[in-house]
Amino acid sequence: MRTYRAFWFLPWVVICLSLVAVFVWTPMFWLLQKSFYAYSLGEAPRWVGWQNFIECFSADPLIPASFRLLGIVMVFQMATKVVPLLAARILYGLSSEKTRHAYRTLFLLPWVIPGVAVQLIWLQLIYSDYGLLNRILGWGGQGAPVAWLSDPTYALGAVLLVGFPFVSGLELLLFYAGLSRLPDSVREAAALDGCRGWRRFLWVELPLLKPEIATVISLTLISSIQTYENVLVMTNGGPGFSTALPGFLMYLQAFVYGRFGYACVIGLMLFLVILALVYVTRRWEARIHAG
Amino acid sequence: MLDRFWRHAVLALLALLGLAPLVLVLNNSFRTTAAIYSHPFAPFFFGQNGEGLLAGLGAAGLNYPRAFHELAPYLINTVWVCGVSSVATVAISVLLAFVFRMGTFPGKRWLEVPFRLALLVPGALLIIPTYLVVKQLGLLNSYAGLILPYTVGGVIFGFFIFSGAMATFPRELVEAAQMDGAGPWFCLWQVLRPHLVPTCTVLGLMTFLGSWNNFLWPYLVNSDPSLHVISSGLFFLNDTDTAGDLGLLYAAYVLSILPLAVLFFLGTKFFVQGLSAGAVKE
Repeated sequence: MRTYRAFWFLPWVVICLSLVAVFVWTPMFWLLQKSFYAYSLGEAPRWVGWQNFIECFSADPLIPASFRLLGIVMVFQMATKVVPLLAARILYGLSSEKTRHAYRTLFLLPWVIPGVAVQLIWLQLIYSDYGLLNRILGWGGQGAPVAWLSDPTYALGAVLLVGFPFVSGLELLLFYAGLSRLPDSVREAAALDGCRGWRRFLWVELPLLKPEIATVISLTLISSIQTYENVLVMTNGGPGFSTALPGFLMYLQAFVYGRFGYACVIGLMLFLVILALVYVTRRWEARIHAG
Repeated sequence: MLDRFWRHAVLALLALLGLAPLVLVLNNSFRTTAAIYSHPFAPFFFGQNGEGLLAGLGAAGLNYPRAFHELAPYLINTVWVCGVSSVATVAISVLLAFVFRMGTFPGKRWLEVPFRLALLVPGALLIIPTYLVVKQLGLLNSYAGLILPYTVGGVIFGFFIFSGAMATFPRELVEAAQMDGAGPWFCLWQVLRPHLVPTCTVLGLMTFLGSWNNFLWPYLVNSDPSLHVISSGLFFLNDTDTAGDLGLLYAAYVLSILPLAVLFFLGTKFFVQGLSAGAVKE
């Protein structure tokens, strides 16, 4: 095949590259650079050296607390992925393609609802004083309504529970595609050895799904670090700081306290955490592919 | 694993629980605010205060005109922003991938690196410096402040998937066309296009969905109420004097879901297959 040459190729690439430079590489560089400045809107940025880092690592009590919360969120969100895994397996076992398609459609439908709408709906219908949760508990004889989102004991759990029963479309489709990828011969061989049902799922299919599991793990890790929109909408970090995840603190420092430099330090730390976690997952994935 | 009955029972229960909030919202959107406060889970067709079957139907449509009045400007903004960014994303990505995969120009090898590396940068963490860049460019409170970042984010992913799609295209076909003297535009439009249409749909859909559902960025960048999109508009309605008007709010939720839900049912096949393909490629 002969490759094309045209006068507009280079200018076109340069135009696209400058867009990427402005909206990806400049922010990336600024994240690093602004970390060393006391920077608020309307004032001239002032160089402060490592001061922001020192404050972040030793003086700010909210930071370690927020990373503990992040750990909880990660473990929780990982655990919820069992639901799409099992749902995909059960769905795959159905014999009629029509029914499978119908269920996939139903499970995918919640995807088109804007996340903020889901959060506001849960806020009002499930967690408010007159909401579903208090109604159900009321039937069991409990008197006063529980303020789920303004009680530090429940707030984080309440935020995380949004989206119950967690049959998220993307993960379901990933696992489903993984199951369709497995050759029939594997299942036949397992059946010949008398391995069926739950045992076949646990010991034959699950190990073969490792690539999909690795992808879901790295997607989940990244999205859990980026989870702070829901906190902003539902609790605004409260009560106190009991739902203040690191991403939320980053938002808070920049847009509420006006400390953009300090917010960049938090962003940088999260960036390094993501990088490390994705690196570990990718290596695990690579080992799976190799062996 | 499970017998037939239990399989369907489990799947139906999961689907039901997932869709239950939607059903409750739809129900309340037909009821008056006073009725929602006193009986939040009563079915709307039982009357606003439980008077009896069909008594409530007279009031059923009252919330929607008001909600539409509030939401219409946000809907128009959203459609405009999402439409432009997804069309621009697809057009730019195709052309960029074509130039890199089918063309030569000086410095090609080095110029590709910044695009490839950008795929590894998690956009959500750059929200603060990106805000500063957009502010510096004077794009706060403008459509461009939303469209440009969405488009650039989409192009980075789009360049990656179109590069893949063009790499799997049979070279003999391009050669045959070249033998007949096909130039680059002819090659792209007449030879490659049929092969690229599914990828275009996936990318366009994902960009559209992503920008439709994005809340934090428009909330931060466009604080001017006349420039709100659906997501920031819903948050705004909950934050201002309409906050206590539950009837209006529930109708607004339904209206915010409706356009994409209609699109979803019209193109279920595209959605399910397209998003499956997109999910696998990620």
